Amino acid sequence: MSSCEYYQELISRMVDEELSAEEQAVLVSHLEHCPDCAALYQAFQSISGVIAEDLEEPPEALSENVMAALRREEIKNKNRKTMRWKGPLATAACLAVVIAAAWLMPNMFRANSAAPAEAPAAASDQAAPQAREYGLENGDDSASAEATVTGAAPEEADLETAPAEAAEAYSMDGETAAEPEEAPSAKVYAVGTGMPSGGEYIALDGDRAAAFAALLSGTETPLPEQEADAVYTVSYKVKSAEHFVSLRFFGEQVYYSFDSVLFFLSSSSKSEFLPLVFPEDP
Amino acid sequence: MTREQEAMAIQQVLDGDVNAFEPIVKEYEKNVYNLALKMTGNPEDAADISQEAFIKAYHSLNSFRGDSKFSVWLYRIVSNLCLDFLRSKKRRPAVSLSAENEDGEEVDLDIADESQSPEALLERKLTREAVRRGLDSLPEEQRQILLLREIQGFSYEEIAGTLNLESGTVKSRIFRARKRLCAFLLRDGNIPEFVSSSNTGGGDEP
Repeated sequence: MSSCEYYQELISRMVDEELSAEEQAVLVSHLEHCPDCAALYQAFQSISGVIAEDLEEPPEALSENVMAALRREEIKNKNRKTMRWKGPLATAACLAVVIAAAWLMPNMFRANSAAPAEAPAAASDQAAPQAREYGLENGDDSASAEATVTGAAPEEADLETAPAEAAEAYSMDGETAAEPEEAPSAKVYAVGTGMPSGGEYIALDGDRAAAFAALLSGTETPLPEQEADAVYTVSYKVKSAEHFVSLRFFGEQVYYSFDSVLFFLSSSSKSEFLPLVFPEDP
Repeated sequence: MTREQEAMAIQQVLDGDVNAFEPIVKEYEKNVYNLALKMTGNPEDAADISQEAFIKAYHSLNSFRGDSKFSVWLYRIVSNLCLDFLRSKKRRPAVSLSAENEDGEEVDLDIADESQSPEALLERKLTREAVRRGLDSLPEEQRQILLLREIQGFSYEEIAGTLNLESGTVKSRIFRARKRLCAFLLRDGNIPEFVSSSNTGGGDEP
């Protein structure tokens, strides 16, 4: 190794400000006498400056894409966790609910499309016996909930009694992403419970996303205490933002939670809502 | 974002607040992207790797101990993703300046180019484009270590911690990367006039 090679290594460290005071003194005095090494020092400095200054702006959507992906994952995880919270004791009950739900759901959709507002008694007549027959737990609760469907404005009266913690446990956090997007689009992620279509992925077209968003209104309410029959997370984008809505089915009733708040869907909006999300069902 | 704010945001994320991760992403996206860009040389790959790196960081945030800088921890993720990506592409450098010695290790070639007169080189300028190409010509591990130093401004000790290397290895690898870059720029006709070929050619083992 020539002596200049020794100094060259010091030059690299000097550019990085990694020299001790002694080393630096030795090098500086060498540079005064050695034009080659002085030139190398300048070259290293120049290259270092060019690399450090040559920074480009990241794509505008980078942070938005990251956050949207993380929020989507979060929603799915939360829904999964929700199902686990009740522990082993709930397993049998869940199973019962799932079986009941598998039988109840088609009936529910039929009831909805068949003018539920005009003939609500038909819906509860259909559903209530099946709930009992298939061992839906909290039989009393669901029976009374179904009964209230026939009432004029049943939701507040009946649901106010559910404890606030239950709503807390189930409700989603504010999961909105400010994500500019021109055309509305929506996806439905089937998550959580063992619905017949559990885990199935349904994509909605733009018009349906817009229609879906337009239907989002309802009465704020605490969540019922019992386990939901099914939970779906719907992600949709309209105009400039991506939103997440969690749909929850309790027997005949449908709720959606949005930005931490749970809403009860009136039966008339429900009848428009469900065919949008589940067009395959009757 | 101060270090305190950063620590607070990290804690919020660990406590389950996904939104607290956003300011962290915004704070580091530029450096992360540029590191990936210079490693891969391709904006689309760099954007993909950056996104993947942040998502990976989010998921493994509980393994961040807080005894090193968060940036050091984050750039290690980025750096490793870049290397994985490059290896998976089995990418060949655009201009190969390397050869293998009898032990199969990569060594720099002696590329002293006597045909380039100092007068000719005088006319050239050290352009960003030339340096980019030069970086691209480096072996991945030299490029990685040089970028951690030049873009992220890490100390040798931080780089050693990031890459699990001895600090002596960091020192010599950065030096070799610089020499090689100089040699490339000289050969490419972009080196500043004041560097003679005698300095950049020849053996490079420290």
